[in-house]
Amino acid sequence: MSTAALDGTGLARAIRQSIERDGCSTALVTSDKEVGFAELGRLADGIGEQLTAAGVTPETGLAVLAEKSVPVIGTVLAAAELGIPTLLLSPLLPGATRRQALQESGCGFLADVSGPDPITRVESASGPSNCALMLTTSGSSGTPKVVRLGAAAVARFLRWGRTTFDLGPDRASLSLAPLNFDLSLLDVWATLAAGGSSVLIGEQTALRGAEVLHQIARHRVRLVQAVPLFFHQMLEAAAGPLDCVEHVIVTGDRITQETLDGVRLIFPKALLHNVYGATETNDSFLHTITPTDPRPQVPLPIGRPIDGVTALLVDDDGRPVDGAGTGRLVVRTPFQADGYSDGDLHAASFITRADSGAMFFVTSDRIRRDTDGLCHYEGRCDRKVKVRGVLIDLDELEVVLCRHEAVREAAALATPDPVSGQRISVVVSVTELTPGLGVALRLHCSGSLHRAGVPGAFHLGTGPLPRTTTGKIDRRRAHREVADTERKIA
Amino acid sequence: MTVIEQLEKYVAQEFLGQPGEAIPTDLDLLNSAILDSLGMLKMIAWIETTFDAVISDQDLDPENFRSIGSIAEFVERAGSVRTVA
Repeated sequence: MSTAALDGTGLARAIRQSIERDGCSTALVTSDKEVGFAELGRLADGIGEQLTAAGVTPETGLAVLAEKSVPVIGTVLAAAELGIPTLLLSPLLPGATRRQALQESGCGFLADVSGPDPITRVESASGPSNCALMLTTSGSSGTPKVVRLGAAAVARFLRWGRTTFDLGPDRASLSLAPLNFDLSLLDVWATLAAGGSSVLIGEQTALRGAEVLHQIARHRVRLVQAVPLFFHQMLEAAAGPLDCVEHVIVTGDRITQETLDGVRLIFPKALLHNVYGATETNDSFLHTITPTDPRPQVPLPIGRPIDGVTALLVDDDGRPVDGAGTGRLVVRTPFQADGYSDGDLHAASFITRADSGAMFFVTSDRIRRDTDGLCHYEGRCDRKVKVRGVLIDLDELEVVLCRHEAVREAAALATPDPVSGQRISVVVSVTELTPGLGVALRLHCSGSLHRAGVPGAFHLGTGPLPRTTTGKIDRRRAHREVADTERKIA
Repeated sequence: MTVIEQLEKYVAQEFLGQPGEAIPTDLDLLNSAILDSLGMLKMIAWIETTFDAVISDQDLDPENFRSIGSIAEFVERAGSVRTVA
Protein backbone atom coordinates (compact mmCIF):
# COMPACT_ATOMS: atom_id res chain seq x y z
CA MET A 1 0.00 0.00 0.00
CA SER A 2 1.32 3.44 -0.76
CA THR A 3 -0.62 6.72 -0.63
CA ALA A 4 -1.09 7.06 3.11
CA ALA A 5 -1.72 10.82 2.99
CA LEU A 6 -5.32 10.28 1.91
CA ASP A 7 -6.02 7.81 4.66
CA GLY A 8 -7.62 10.24 7.08
CA THR A 9 -8.99 7.55 9.37
CA GLY A 10 -5.51 6.17 10.02
CA LEU A 11 -6.85 2.68 9.37
CA ALA A 12 -4.65 1.68 6.44
CA ARG A 13 -1.64 3.39 8.04
CA ALA A 14 -2.14 1.42 11.26
CA ILE A 15 -2.39 -1.81 9.31
CA ARG A 16 0.80 -1.03 7.45
CA GLN A 17 2.52 -0.58 10.81
CA SER A 18 1.28 -4.02 11.83
CA ILE A 19 2.72 -5.47 8.62
CA GLU A 20 6.09 -3.91 9.40
CA ARG A 21 6.01 -5.10 13.01
CA ASP A 22 4.97 -8.68 12.30
CA GLY A 23 3.37 -9.41 8.95
CA CYS A 24 2.80 -13.04 9.94
CA SER A 25 0.60 -12.19 12.92
CA THR A 26 -3.06 -12.97 12.39
CA ALA A 27 -5.37 -10.19 11.22
CA LEU A 28 -8.51 -12.12 10.32
CA VAL A 29 -9.89 -15.50 11.27
CA THR A 30 -12.67 -17.08 9.22
CA SER A 31 -14.35 -20.47 9.49
CA ASP A 32 -11.72 -22.05 7.28
CA LYS A 33 -8.57 -19.94 7.40
CA GLU A 34 -6.42 -17.37 9.15
CA VAL A 35 -5.11 -14.36 7.25
CA GLY A 36 -1.96 -12.54 8.34
CA PHE A 37 -1.47 -8.77 8.14
CA ALA A 38 0.99 -9.10 5.25
CA GLU A 39 -1.49 -11.17 3.24
CA LEU A 40 -4.28 -8.69 3.98
CA GLY A 41 -2.01 -5.86 2.85
CA ARG A 42 -1.20 -7.63 -0.42
CA LEU A 43 -4.89 -8.29 -1.00
CA ALA A 44 -5.71 -4.61 -0.42
CA ASP A 45 -2.88 -3.60 -2.79
CA GLY A 46 -4.34 -5.73 -5.57
CA ILE A 47 -7.87 -4.47 -5.00
CA GLY A 48 -6.59 -0.89 -4.87
CA GLU A 49 -5.12 -1.34 -8.34
CA GLN A 50 -8.43 -2.73 -9.60
CA LEU A 51 -10.35 0.19 -8.10
CA THR A 52 -8.03 2.70 -9.72
CA ALA A 53 -8.18 0.89 -13.07
CA ALA A 54 -11.99 0.91 -12.91
CA GLY A 55 -11.99 4.68 -12.35
CA VAL A 56 -13.00 4.69 -8.67
CA THR A 57 -11.70 7.88 -7.03
CA PRO A 58 -12.38 10.00 -3.91
CA GLU A 59 -14.80 11.99 -6.10
CA THR A 60 -16.82 8.96 -7.28
CA GLY A 61 -17.01 7.11 -3.96
CA LEU A 62 -17.60 3.38 -3.60
CA ALA A 63 -20.48 1.34 -2.24
CA VAL A 64 -19.50 -2.10 -0.98
CA LEU A 65 -21.89 -5.01 -0.53
CA ALA A 66 -20.69 -5.83 2.94
CA GLU A 67 -20.72 -9.62 3.11
CA LYS A 68 -18.51 -10.51 6.03
CA SER A 69 -15.49 -11.85 4.17
CA VAL A 70 -11.77 -11.26 3.75
CA PRO A 71 -12.11 -9.80 0.20
CA VAL A 72 -14.70 -7.28 1.40
CA ILE A 73 -12.46 -6.19 4.27
CA GLY A 74 -9.59 -5.92 1.78
CA THR A 75 -11.79 -3.74 -0.44
CA VAL A 76 -12.66 -1.37 2.40
CA LEU A 77 -8.99 -1.11 3.37
CA ALA A 78 -7.99 -0.40 -0.23
CA ALA A 79 -10.63 2.33 -0.43
CA ALA A 80 -9.44 3.82 2.88
CA GLU A 81 -5.89 3.91 1.56
CA LEU A 82 -7.03 5.74 -1.56
CA GLY A 83 -9.18 8.18 0.44
CA ILE A 84 -12.38 6.95 -1.22
CA PRO A 85 -15.63 7.57 0.69
CA THR A 86 -17.11 4.11 1.20
CA LEU A 87 -20.69 3.06 1.81
CA LEU A 88 -21.08 -0.27 3.60
CA LEU A 89 -24.29 -1.71 2.30
CA SER A 90 -26.15 -4.63 3.84
CA PRO A 91 -26.40 -7.52 1.39
CA LEU A 92 -29.82 -8.24 2.93
CA LEU A 93 -31.43 -4.95 1.90
CA PRO A 94 -34.30 -5.48 -0.54
CA GLY A 95 -33.42 -4.40 -4.10
CA ALA A 96 -35.48 -1.19 -4.13
CA THR A 97 -34.10 -0.10 -0.75
CA ARG A 98 -30.57 -0.85 -1.84
CA ARG A 99 -31.00 1.32 -4.93
CA GLN A 100 -32.42 4.10 -2.77
CA ALA A 101 -29.48 3.92 -0.35
CA LEU A 102 -27.03 3.90 -3.26
CA GLN A 103 -28.62 6.96 -4.77
CA GLU A 104 -28.76 8.67 -1.39
CA SER A 105 -25.04 8.08 -0.87
CA GLY A 106 -24.10 9.49 -4.27
CA CYS A 107 -21.59 6.66 -4.80
CA GLY A 108 -20.60 6.11 -8.42
CA PHE A 109 -19.44 2.49 -8.12
CA LEU A 110 -20.66 -0.68 -6.47
CA ALA A 111 -18.28 -3.43 -5.33
CA ASP A 112 -19.79 -6.90 -5.09
CA VAL A 113 -16.84 -9.21 -4.58
CA SER A 114 -18.91 -12.37 -4.88
CA GLY A 115 -20.69 -11.26 -8.06
CA PRO A 116 -19.61 -11.88 -11.67
CA ASP A 117 -18.58 -8.21 -12.06
CA PRO A 118 -16.79 -7.21 -8.86
CA ILE A 119 -16.84 -3.46 -9.62
CA THR A 120 -19.71 -1.92 -11.54
CA ARG A 121 -20.61 1.68 -12.33
CA VAL A 122 -23.78 3.11 -10.77
CA GLU A 123 -26.02 5.13 -13.07
CA SER A 124 -26.90 8.77 -12.26
CA ALA A 125 -24.58 9.02 -9.27
CA SER A 126 -24.14 12.53 -7.95
CA GLY A 127 -20.88 11.92 -6.08
CA PRO A 128 -20.63 11.44 -2.32
CA SER A 129 -20.06 14.14 0.24
CA ASN A 130 -16.64 14.44 1.76
CA CYS A 131 -16.47 11.66 4.37
CA ALA A 132 -14.64 8.41 5.11
CA LEU A 133 -17.37 5.88 5.73
CA MET A 134 -21.10 5.75 5.19
CA LEU A 135 -23.43 3.43 7.05
CA THR A 136 -27.18 3.06 6.78
CA THR A 137 -29.21 3.22 9.95
CA SER A 138 -30.62 -0.09 11.10
CA GLY A 139 -34.13 1.19 10.54
CA SER A 140 -36.93 -0.59 8.80
CA SER A 141 -35.48 1.01 5.70
CA GLY A 142 -38.55 2.22 3.86
CA THR A 143 -36.52 5.41 3.69
CA PRO A 144 -32.89 4.44 4.27
CA LYS A 145 -30.83 7.05 6.03
CA VAL A 146 -27.22 7.18 4.94
CA VAL A 147 -25.05 8.29 7.84
CA ARG A 148 -21.82 10.06 6.84
CA LEU A 149 -18.83 9.46 9.13
CA GLY A 150 -15.93 11.86 8.77
CA ALA A 151 -12.35 10.60 8.83
CA ALA A 152 -11.46 12.43 12.05
CA ALA A 153 -14.48 11.01 13.88
CA VAL A 154 -13.60 7.48 12.78
CA ALA A 155 -9.97 8.02 13.80
CA ARG A 156 -11.06 9.22 17.26
CA PHE A 157 -13.28 6.16 17.67
CA LEU A 158 -10.47 3.79 16.64
CA ARG A 159 -8.22 5.35 19.31
CA TRP A 160 -10.94 5.33 21.98
CA GLY A 161 -11.78 1.68 21.28
CA ARG A 162 -8.14 0.71 21.51
CA THR A 163 -7.53 2.27 24.92
CA THR A 164 -10.91 1.51 26.48
CA PHE A 165 -11.02 -2.16 25.54
CA ASP A 166 -7.28 -2.96 25.55
CA LEU A 167 -7.09 -3.79 21.85
CA GLY A 168 -3.64 -4.65 20.55
CA PRO A 169 -1.33 -7.16 18.89
CA ASP A 170 -2.06 -10.82 19.59
CA ARG A 171 -5.40 -9.93 21.11
CA ALA A 172 -8.53 -11.16 19.37
CA SER A 173 -11.99 -9.62 19.15
CA LEU A 174 -15.10 -11.53 18.15
CA SER A 175 -17.04 -10.13 15.21
CA LEU A 176 -20.65 -11.27 15.47
CA ALA A 177 -22.47 -8.29 13.96
CA PRO A 178 -22.82 -7.78 10.21
CA LEU A 179 -19.95 -5.80 8.70
CA ASN A 180 -22.23 -2.90 7.77
CA PHE A 181 -23.32 -2.42 11.42
CA ASP A 182 -21.66 0.29 13.49
CA LEU A 183 -20.60 -2.43 15.97
CA SER A 184 -18.01 -3.55 13.42
CA LEU A 185 -16.18 -0.26 13.85
CA LEU A 186 -14.93 -1.72 17.14
CA ASP A 187 -14.67 -5.46 16.69
CA VAL A 188 -13.27 -5.35 13.15
CA TRP A 189 -11.79 -1.95 12.26
CA ALA A 190 -10.53 -0.70 15.66
CA THR A 191 -9.22 -4.20 16.38
CA LEU A 192 -7.28 -4.34 13.10
CA ALA A 193 -6.04 -0.76 13.51
CA ALA A 194 -4.65 -1.77 16.92
CA GLY A 195 -2.82 -4.74 15.38
CA GLY A 196 -5.20 -7.32 16.84
CA SER A 197 -7.13 -10.05 15.10
CA SER A 198 -10.81 -10.17 14.34
CA VAL A 199 -12.55 -13.53 14.48
CA LEU A 200 -15.27 -13.28 11.83
CA ILE A 201 -18.48 -15.16 12.55
CA GLY A 202 -20.90 -15.43 9.64
CA GLU A 203 -24.62 -14.79 9.86
CA GLN A 204 -25.57 -18.47 9.77
CA THR A 205 -23.14 -19.34 12.56
CA ALA A 206 -23.68 -16.31 14.80
CA LEU A 207 -26.79 -17.78 16.39
CA ARG A 208 -25.24 -21.20 16.98
CA GLY A 209 -24.10 -20.65 20.54
CA ALA A 210 -21.96 -23.80 20.80
CA GLU A 211 -19.95 -22.91 17.69
CA VAL A 212 -19.49 -19.30 18.81
CA LEU A 213 -18.22 -20.41 22.24
CA HIS A 214 -15.88 -22.88 20.51
CA GLN A 215 -14.40 -20.06 18.40
CA ILE A 216 -14.00 -17.85 21.49
CA ALA A 217 -12.05 -20.59 23.30
CA ARG A 218 -10.05 -21.68 20.26
CA HIS A 219 -8.79 -18.19 19.41
CA ARG A 220 -8.59 -16.95 23.01
CA VAL A 221 -10.90 -14.05 22.24
CA ARG A 222 -10.51 -11.08 24.62
CA LEU A 223 -13.43 -8.91 23.47
CA VAL A 224 -16.99 -10.07 22.83
CA GLN A 225 -19.52 -7.47 21.74
CA ALA A 226 -23.12 -8.41 20.95
CA VAL A 227 -26.79 -7.62 21.33
CA PRO A 228 -28.49 -9.71 24.07
CA LEU A 229 -29.93 -12.25 21.59
CA PHE A 230 -26.47 -13.65 20.82
CA PHE A 231 -25.57 -13.97 24.51
CA HIS A 232 -28.86 -15.80 25.03
CA GLN A 233 -27.86 -18.30 22.34
CA MET A 234 -24.39 -18.78 23.89
CA LEU A 235 -25.90 -19.46 27.31
CA GLU A 236 -28.10 -22.20 25.89
CA ALA A 237 -24.95 -24.01 24.76
CA ALA A 238 -22.49 -23.08 27.52
CA ALA A 239 -20.55 -25.96 29.05
CA GLY A 240 -18.29 -24.04 31.42
CA PRO A 241 -16.55 -20.73 32.09
CA LEU A 242 -14.27 -19.11 29.53
CA ASP A 243 -11.50 -17.25 31.31
CA CYS A 244 -9.89 -15.73 28.21
CA VAL A 245 -12.54 -13.06 27.69
CA GLU A 246 -11.62 -9.75 29.34
CA HIS A 247 -14.30 -7.43 27.96
CA VAL A 248 -17.94 -8.21 27.29
CA ILE A 249 -19.98 -5.45 25.69
CA VAL A 250 -23.75 -5.64 25.79
CA THR A 251 -25.40 -3.19 23.47
CA GLY A 252 -28.39 -2.50 21.28
CA ASP A 253 -31.11 -3.66 23.62
CA ARG A 254 -32.07 -4.40 27.20
CA ILE A 255 -30.64 -7.58 28.67
CA THR A 256 -32.76 -9.89 30.82
CA GLN A 257 -31.70 -10.81 34.37
CA GLU A 258 -31.26 -14.46 33.36
CA THR A 259 -28.99 -13.59 30.43
CA LEU A 260 -27.02 -11.10 32.51
CA ASP A 261 -26.43 -13.63 35.29
CA GLY A 262 -25.46 -16.25 32.72
CA VAL A 263 -22.99 -13.95 30.94
CA ARG A 264 -21.22 -13.30 34.24
CA LEU A 265 -20.96 -17.06 34.82
CA ILE A 266 -19.53 -18.01 31.42
CA PHE A 267 -17.18 -15.01 31.25
CA PRO A 268 -16.19 -14.82 34.94
CA LYS A 269 -13.07 -12.67 34.46
CA ALA A 270 -14.56 -10.13 32.07
CA LEU A 271 -15.46 -6.53 32.67
CA LEU A 272 -19.07 -6.25 31.56
CA HIS A 273 -19.89 -3.02 29.72
CA ASN A 274 -23.39 -1.82 28.98
CA VAL A 275 -22.89 0.55 26.04
CA TYR A 276 -25.48 3.00 24.73
CA GLY A 277 -25.13 4.68 21.37
CA ALA A 278 -26.65 5.21 17.94
CA THR A 279 -25.23 4.82 14.44
CA GLU A 280 -25.27 8.63 14.18
CA THR A 281 -23.19 9.20 17.33
CA ASN A 282 -21.52 5.85 17.93
CA ASP A 283 -20.91 4.92 21.58
CA SER A 284 -22.14 7.67 23.88
CA PHE A 285 -22.69 6.21 27.38
CA LEU A 286 -20.84 3.47 29.21
CA HIS A 287 -21.62 1.52 32.35
CA THR A 288 -19.03 -1.00 33.50
CA ILE A 289 -19.47 -3.83 36.00
CA THR A 290 -16.44 -5.66 37.36
CA PRO A 291 -16.40 -9.39 38.15
CA THR A 292 -16.27 -8.62 41.89
CA ASP A 293 -19.20 -6.19 41.89
CA PRO A 294 -22.34 -7.44 43.63
CA ARG A 295 -24.99 -9.03 41.39
CA PRO A 296 -26.30 -6.24 39.14
CA GLN A 297 -30.03 -5.91 38.69
CA VAL A 298 -31.79 -5.28 35.37
CA PRO A 299 -32.51 -2.99 33.73
CA LEU A 300 -28.87 -2.00 33.75
CA PRO A 301 -28.15 1.73 33.77
CA ILE A 302 -26.61 3.07 30.57
CA GLY A 303 -24.12 4.76 32.85
CA ARG A 304 -22.43 8.07 32.28
CA PRO A 305 -21.36 9.98 29.17
CA ILE A 306 -18.04 8.81 27.70
CA ASP A 307 -15.18 11.35 27.90
CA GLY A 308 -15.77 14.13 25.41
CA VAL A 309 -19.52 13.47 25.16
CA THR A 310 -22.00 16.25 25.94
CA ALA A 311 -25.42 14.88 26.87
CA LEU A 312 -28.44 17.13 27.32
CA LEU A 313 -31.90 16.08 28.44
CA VAL A 314 -34.78 18.08 27.03
CA ASP A 315 -38.35 18.05 28.37
CA ASP A 316 -41.54 17.91 26.25
CA ASP A 317 -41.51 21.70 25.89
CA GLY A 318 -37.94 21.72 24.62
CA ARG A 319 -36.50 23.08 27.87
CA PRO A 320 -33.24 21.59 29.19
CA VAL A 321 -33.53 19.36 32.25
CA ASP A 322 -30.79 20.23 34.73
CA GLY A 323 -29.69 17.75 37.35
CA ALA A 324 -31.92 14.79 38.09
CA GLY A 325 -34.87 14.27 35.76
CA THR A 326 -36.14 12.63 32.58
CA GLY A 327 -36.10 13.96 29.04
CA ARG A 328 -35.29 13.29 25.41
CA LEU A 329 -31.57 12.83 24.89
CA VAL A 330 -29.78 15.38 22.72
CA VAL A 331 -26.15 14.38 22.42
CA ARG A 332 -22.84 15.26 20.87
CA THR A 333 -19.93 12.80 20.76
CA PRO A 334 -16.33 12.90 19.50
CA PHE A 335 -17.24 10.06 17.11
CA GLN A 336 -20.35 11.69 15.75
CA ALA A 337 -21.42 11.55 12.10
CA ASP A 338 -21.32 14.65 9.92
CA GLY A 339 -24.99 13.98 9.35
CA TYR A 340 -27.32 12.31 6.87
CA SER A 341 -26.91 12.52 3.12
CA ASP A 342 -30.51 13.69 2.85
CA GLY A 343 -30.70 17.38 3.76
CA ASP A 344 -34.29 17.30 5.07
CA LEU A 345 -33.66 14.29 7.26
CA HIS A 346 -30.46 15.93 8.46
CA ALA A 347 -32.22 19.13 9.46
CA ALA A 348 -34.83 17.14 11.41
CA SER A 349 -32.32 15.22 13.50
CA PHE A 350 -29.15 17.29 13.78
CA ILE A 351 -29.27 20.72 15.42
CA THR A 352 -26.63 23.36 15.86
CA ARG A 353 -26.75 25.05 19.25
CA ALA A 354 -26.61 28.81 19.07
CA ASP A 355 -24.46 29.18 22.22
CA SER A 356 -21.56 26.95 21.14
CA GLY A 357 -22.13 26.47 17.41
CA ALA A 358 -21.73 22.74 18.08
CA MET A 359 -23.84 20.16 16.25
CA PHE A 360 -25.94 17.78 18.35
CA PHE A 361 -27.95 14.70 17.43
CA VAL A 362 -31.56 14.67 18.60
CA THR A 363 -32.30 11.09 19.62
CA SER A 364 -35.76 9.59 20.06
CA ASP A 365 -34.76 8.09 23.42
CA ARG A 366 -36.04 9.12 26.83
CA ILE A 367 -33.32 9.05 29.44
CA ARG A 368 -33.59 9.43 33.21
CA ARG A 369 -30.70 10.97 35.12
CA ASP A 370 -30.21 10.21 38.85
CA THR A 371 -29.09 12.75 41.42
CA ASP A 372 -25.57 11.32 41.13
CA GLY A 373 -25.54 11.65 37.33
CA LEU A 374 -26.06 7.97 36.52
CA CYS A 375 -28.35 7.63 33.49
CA HIS A 376 -31.04 5.08 32.68
CA TYR A 377 -32.81 4.27 29.40
CA GLU A 378 -36.55 4.75 29.88
CA GLY A 379 -37.92 4.05 26.39
CA ARG A 380 -38.52 5.76 23.09
CA CYS A 381 -40.49 8.86 22.18
CA ASP A 382 -41.80 7.20 19.00
CA ARG A 383 -43.10 3.79 17.93
CA LYS A 384 -39.77 2.24 17.08
CA VAL A 385 -38.81 -1.07 18.64
CA LYS A 386 -35.72 -3.26 18.57
CA VAL A 387 -36.10 -6.67 16.95
CA ARG A 388 -32.91 -8.74 17.09
CA GLY A 389 -30.99 -5.50 17.55
CA VAL A 390 -32.55 -3.85 14.48
CA LEU A 391 -34.60 -0.68 14.97
CA ILE A 392 -38.04 -1.11 13.43
CA ASP A 393 -40.59 1.67 12.98
CA LEU A 394 -44.09 0.27 13.58
CA ASP A 395 -45.70 3.32 11.97
CA GLU A 396 -43.69 2.72 8.84
CA LEU A 397 -44.65 -0.96 8.81
CA GLU A 398 -48.34 0.01 8.89
CA VAL A 399 -47.82 2.46 6.04
CA VAL A 400 -46.11 -0.22 3.95
CA LEU A 401 -48.93 -2.70 4.65
CA CYS A 402 -51.59 -0.17 3.68
CA ARG A 403 -49.93 0.24 0.28
CA HIS A 404 -51.11 -3.30 -0.59
CA GLU A 405 -54.31 -3.21 -2.63
CA ALA A 406 -56.12 -5.70 -0.38
CA VAL A 407 -55.40 -3.84 2.87
CA ARG A 408 -57.83 -1.33 4.35
CA GLU A 409 -55.99 -0.66 7.58
CA ALA A 410 -53.39 -2.26 9.83
CA ALA A 411 -52.40 -2.19 13.49
CA ALA A 412 -48.87 -3.31 14.38
CA LEU A 413 -47.89 -4.07 17.93
CA ALA A 414 -44.66 -5.32 19.50
CA THR A 415 -44.56 -7.54 22.55
CA PRO A 416 -41.46 -8.44 24.59
CA ASP A 417 -39.78 -11.64 23.48
CA PRO A 418 -37.06 -13.28 25.58
CA VAL A 419 -35.02 -14.23 22.51
CA SER A 420 -35.48 -11.55 19.86
CA GLY A 421 -36.14 -8.61 22.19
CA GLN A 422 -39.50 -7.78 20.66
CA ARG A 423 -41.89 -9.73 18.46
CA ILE A 424 -44.05 -7.85 16.00
CA SER A 425 -47.57 -8.96 15.18
CA VAL A 426 -50.08 -7.17 13.03
CA VAL A 427 -53.86 -7.14 12.78
CA VAL A 428 -54.93 -6.34 9.24
CA SER A 429 -58.34 -5.41 7.92
CA VAL A 430 -58.56 -6.60 4.31
CA THR A 431 -61.13 -6.14 1.56
CA GLU A 432 -61.52 -9.90 1.02
CA LEU A 433 -59.98 -13.00 2.60
CA THR A 434 -58.46 -14.83 -0.34
CA PRO A 435 -56.24 -17.94 -0.26
CA GLY A 436 -52.57 -17.07 -0.05
CA LEU A 437 -53.16 -13.50 1.07
CA GLY A 438 -51.09 -13.98 4.24
CA VAL A 439 -48.07 -15.06 2.20
CA ALA A 440 -48.69 -12.27 -0.32
CA LEU A 441 -48.68 -9.66 2.45
CA ARG A 442 -45.48 -11.07 3.89
CA LEU A 443 -43.82 -10.91 0.48
CA HIS A 444 -45.11 -7.37 0.08
CA CYS A 445 -43.51 -6.36 3.40
CA SER A 446 -40.23 -8.11 2.70
CA GLY A 447 -39.95 -6.12 -0.54
CA SER A 448 -39.77 -2.81 1.34
CA LEU A 449 -38.70 -3.55 4.89
CA HIS A 450 -35.71 -4.96 6.71
CA ARG A 451 -36.26 -8.68 7.33
CA ALA A 452 -36.47 -8.09 11.08
CA GLY A 453 -39.35 -5.69 10.41
CA VAL A 454 -41.57 -8.28 8.75
CA PRO A 455 -44.14 -9.25 11.40
CA GLY A 456 -43.89 -12.65 13.05
CA ALA A 457 -47.68 -13.06 12.89
CA PHE A 458 -50.37 -11.68 10.58
CA HIS A 459 -53.99 -11.72 11.78
CA LEU A 460 -56.33 -11.06 8.88
CA GLY A 461 -59.99 -10.14 9.00
CA THR A 462 -62.54 -8.24 6.91
CA GLY A 463 -64.08 -6.16 9.70
CA PRO A 464 -62.93 -2.66 10.59
CA LEU A 465 -60.33 -2.24 13.33
CA PRO A 466 -61.58 -0.92 16.69
CA ARG A 467 -61.24 2.82 17.34
CA THR A 468 -60.57 4.93 20.39
CA THR A 469 -63.01 7.65 21.42
CA THR A 470 -60.89 10.13 19.45
CA GLY A 471 -61.18 8.03 16.30
CA LYS A 472 -57.68 6.61 16.24
CA ILE A 473 -57.07 2.88 15.69
CA ASP A 474 -57.08 1.18 19.08
CA ARG A 475 -54.13 -1.12 18.47
CA ARG A 476 -54.12 -2.79 21.85
CA ARG A 477 -57.83 -3.60 21.65
CA ALA A 478 -57.42 -4.95 18.10
CA HIS A 479 -54.73 -7.35 19.30
CA ARG A 480 -56.64 -8.24 22.48
CA GLU A 481 -59.72 -9.14 20.43
CA VAL A 482 -57.66 -11.37 18.14
CA ALA A 483 -56.09 -13.13 21.14
CA ASP A 484 -59.54 -13.64 22.71
CA THR A 485 -60.90 -15.11 19.48
CA GLU A 486 -57.93 -17.45 19.09
CA ARG A 487 -58.30 -18.61 22.70
CA LYS A 488 -61.95 -19.47 22.06
CA ILE A 489 -61.07 -21.41 18.90
CA ALA A 490 -58.31 -23.32 20.72
CA MET B 1 -49.61 -36.59 6.12
CA THR B 2 -46.76 -36.41 3.64
CA VAL B 3 -43.52 -34.62 4.51
CA ILE B 4 -44.59 -31.63 2.43
CA GLU B 5 -47.96 -31.44 4.16
CA GLN B 6 -46.32 -31.62 7.57
CA LEU B 7 -43.86 -28.91 6.58
CA GLU B 8 -46.63 -26.68 5.21
CA LYS B 9 -48.63 -27.06 8.40
CA TYR B 10 -45.60 -26.35 10.61
CA VAL B 11 -44.43 -23.29 8.64
CA ALA B 12 -47.95 -21.83 8.51
CA GLN B 13 -48.41 -22.32 12.24
CA GLU B 14 -44.95 -21.35 13.50
CA PHE B 15 -43.74 -18.72 11.07
CA LEU B 16 -46.86 -17.21 9.54
CA GLY B 17 -49.03 -17.36 12.64
CA GLN B 18 -51.81 -18.53 10.33
CA PRO B 19 -52.65 -22.23 10.60
CA GLY B 20 -54.02 -23.58 7.35
CA GLU B 21 -52.47 -20.86 5.14
CA ALA B 22 -51.53 -22.27 1.74
CA ILE B 23 -47.81 -21.93 1.03
CA PRO B 24 -46.46 -22.64 -2.47
CA THR B 25 -43.81 -25.37 -2.20
CA ASP B 26 -41.38 -23.30 -4.28
CA LEU B 27 -41.87 -20.05 -2.32
CA ASP B 28 -38.49 -18.61 -1.26
CA LEU B 29 -38.83 -18.72 2.52
CA LEU B 30 -35.56 -16.87 3.15
CA ASN B 31 -35.99 -13.94 0.78
CA SER B 32 -39.63 -13.55 1.77
CA ALA B 33 -38.50 -13.18 5.41
CA ILE B 34 -40.62 -16.13 6.54
CA LEU B 35 -37.50 -17.93 7.74
CA ASP B 36 -34.44 -16.19 9.20
CA SER B 37 -31.38 -17.72 10.81
CA LEU B 38 -33.12 -18.05 14.18
CA GLY B 39 -36.09 -19.62 12.41
CA MET B 40 -33.72 -22.07 10.71
CA LEU B 41 -32.46 -23.23 14.11
CA LYS B 42 -36.04 -23.70 15.28
CA MET B 43 -36.85 -25.59 12.09
CA ILE B 44 -33.80 -27.85 12.51
CA ALA B 45 -34.81 -28.76 16.06
CA TRP B 46 -38.33 -29.57 14.82
CA ILE B 47 -37.04 -31.67 11.89
CA GLU B 48 -34.72 -33.62 14.21
CA THR B 49 -37.61 -34.40 16.56
CA THR B 50 -40.33 -34.99 13.99
CA PHE B 51 -38.41 -37.01 11.45
CA ASP B 52 -35.73 -38.68 13.61
CA ALA B 53 -33.13 -36.98 11.42
CA VAL B 54 -29.61 -36.11 12.50
CA ILE B 55 -28.46 -32.75 11.14
CA SER B 56 -24.79 -31.83 11.19
CA ASP B 57 -23.20 -28.38 10.90
CA GLN B 58 -22.30 -29.19 7.29
CA ASP B 59 -26.00 -29.47 6.48
CA LEU B 60 -26.63 -25.89 7.53
CA ASP B 61 -26.51 -24.65 3.98
CA PRO B 62 -29.27 -22.05 3.58
CA GLU B 63 -30.06 -23.66 0.22
CA ASN B 64 -31.43 -26.67 2.12
CA PHE B 65 -33.97 -24.35 3.71
CA ARG B 66 -34.82 -22.17 0.74
CA SER B 67 -38.37 -23.53 0.18
CA ILE B 68 -40.75 -26.15 1.47
CA GLY B 69 -39.76 -28.27 -1.50
CA SER B 70 -36.03 -28.05 -0.75
CA ILE B 71 -36.60 -28.73 2.95
CA ALA B 72 -38.63 -31.81 2.08
CA GLU B 73 -35.83 -33.08 -0.18
CA PHE B 74 -33.33 -32.39 2.57
CA VAL B 75 -35.45 -34.21 5.18
CA GLU B 76 -35.73 -37.23 2.94
CA ARG B 77 -31.96 -37.27 2.47
CA ALA B 78 -31.24 -36.64 6.15
CA GLY B 79 -33.07 -39.47 7.77
CA SER B 80 -35.90 -41.89 8.03
CA VAL B 81 -39.14 -40.15 7.22
CA ARG B 82 -42.03 -40.59 9.58
CA THR B 83 -45.43 -40.12 7.99
CA VAL B 84 -48.14 -38.94 10.32
CA ALA B 85 -51.53 -40.56 9.79
